[in-house]
Amino acid sequence: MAHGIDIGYFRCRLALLARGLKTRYAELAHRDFPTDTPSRLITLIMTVLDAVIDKIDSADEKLLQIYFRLISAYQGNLAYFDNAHKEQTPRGLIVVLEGLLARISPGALFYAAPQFDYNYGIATFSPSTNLSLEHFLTEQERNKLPSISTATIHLIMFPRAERDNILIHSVFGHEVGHLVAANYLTAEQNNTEYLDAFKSAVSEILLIAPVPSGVSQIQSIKHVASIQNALSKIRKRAMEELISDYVGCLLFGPSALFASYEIFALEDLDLPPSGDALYPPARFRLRFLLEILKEEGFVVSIQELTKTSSIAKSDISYFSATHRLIEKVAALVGDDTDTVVLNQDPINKVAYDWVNNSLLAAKPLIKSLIPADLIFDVTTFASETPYLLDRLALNVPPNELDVYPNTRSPHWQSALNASWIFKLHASKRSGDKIEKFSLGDYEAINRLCLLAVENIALQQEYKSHMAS
Amino acid sequence: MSAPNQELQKAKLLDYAFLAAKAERASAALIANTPLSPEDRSVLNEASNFLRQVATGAEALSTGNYQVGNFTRAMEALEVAINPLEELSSALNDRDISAVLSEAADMMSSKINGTNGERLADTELEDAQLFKSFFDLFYRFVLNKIDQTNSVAILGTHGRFDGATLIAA
Repeated sequence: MAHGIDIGYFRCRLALLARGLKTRYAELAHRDFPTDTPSRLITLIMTVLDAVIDKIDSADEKLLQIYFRLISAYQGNLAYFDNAHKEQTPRGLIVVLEGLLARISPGALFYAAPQFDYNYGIATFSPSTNLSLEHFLTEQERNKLPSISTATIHLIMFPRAERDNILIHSVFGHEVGHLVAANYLTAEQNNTEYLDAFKSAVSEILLIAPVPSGVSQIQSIKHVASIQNALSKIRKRAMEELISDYVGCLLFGPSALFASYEIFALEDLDLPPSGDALYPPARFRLRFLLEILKEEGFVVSIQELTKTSSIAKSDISYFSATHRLIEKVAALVGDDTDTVVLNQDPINKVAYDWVNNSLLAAKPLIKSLIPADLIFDVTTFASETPYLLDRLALNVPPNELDVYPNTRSPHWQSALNASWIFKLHASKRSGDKIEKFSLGDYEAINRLCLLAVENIALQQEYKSHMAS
Repeated sequence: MSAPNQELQKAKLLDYAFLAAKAERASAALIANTPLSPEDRSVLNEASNFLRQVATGAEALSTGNYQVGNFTRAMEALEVAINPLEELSSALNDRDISAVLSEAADMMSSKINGTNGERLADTELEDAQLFKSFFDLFYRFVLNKIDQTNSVAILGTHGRFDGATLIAA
């Protein structure tokens, strides 16, 4: 690794590189971000870059090689600030997430940024870890950094093209669920039941793929470690995604399934865990989401609501199309091709047997970890969404229940679910005719829903302000 | 949705790289009997703790007893250390890996927290050399791993539309 480089030359080269990057961060520092988290993080990174420049003078060749990679990594982080300003982040999303995160992860900071990949995500980090500060700076130096260096920060990412598609932002319940999943999985790591199940799962795979005879101690350890790491990662990733799906359903109701269906339906539904992401097959997840909706009573409720009529005097209930979608998903997940694919690989098979057992035990505990008033229950759904659908049919935001002057705010989840149901209905009354929605009509639903969610949040804020 | 992000993995590797480079340098100072700075002592303490975690992971997998301290942390340490350890295996002379690593870590802890100026005894010198060699190999492995996590080469590609050119060809 030691190349015998000209240390003096490269000290200067890296100091200039660090200064150049600091200037790029300075250019972003005063953008109009929806929260002050990005600005504070940028200030921290600029302070750390100053420390890099200071330390370069005494760095040996090994450290110089690390500094180059450190500065390169910091440059990569620019992407998370470039478009995190107000113009490129959806207001409705910020309002909803701010409220949820304040309850699920009190004290943590957050910000949202669009990304170029088509993927939603939440990255929870402490700058101290993400900026690799622990062994770069001494404890004394770390103590002098801005306080945000030790904060917990949630970075919410979404595909840039979906910025205004508030309906599909229902998947953010899943992203918030990752925080609950992380707490659950950290807590289980060292309990006896988990360790016994882990050991038993590894033993099961070792029966199929035993340690080759005659190998050295280190090769034997390496063999077991490779099986164990693969098993642990597949199981952990599955648990993370499925627990998050569960939380997403509890927080967002049926809209969590609708948004997931839109994202998954065009993918290979039976793709087994692969790459670093190790996602469970999409069909497996849709099956799990549908099960949750059944358990929580939403499927029966939607079926019941198909019997209701609407203010727009449509021939069929708004809920019929939603019911048909649920039947379509039920047919998709009735096919077990995903399980067949999983069972073809011994590690996947053992990991998913373990996941199925773990989820049964995990669900009641996960539910108890979520503040009860955040859970969107079926009674609220059934009582609020029909009324809000009538407002949508009149091209009015679904943000009020009852009749003026005795109006009240619905739950924001009701506004979101009503908007989905209206979207799935996909037709409107025009005079005596029923017309199919145009693309503009679909976009209008997003705008009405965004207005409703923001308005509901404002009303709540106003009420709590007046009460205090 | 929400795959483990590459940046966090790289950040952890960079942190390991700092630990490895500084631990190797500080252990060289200890071997040469030159005074240790407060940072050297702190780094050697943390490096010793890391080595103990690796030893715990190796012991758990060798004996099948998973009820060992923080099992998950031990496995994480072992996962990242296993390749350097394999390279070091000839120096281990068929001794029990877990015992050798624990012994080296304990010796370093006792020396950095003891008095200054004492020369290392022969057996201590052997442990210190093993410690230094491990962190040198660990540094190389981690840096290599960081470079592998880069999705594109720093130089040498035509650009992001290479695939399109190939299809057209």
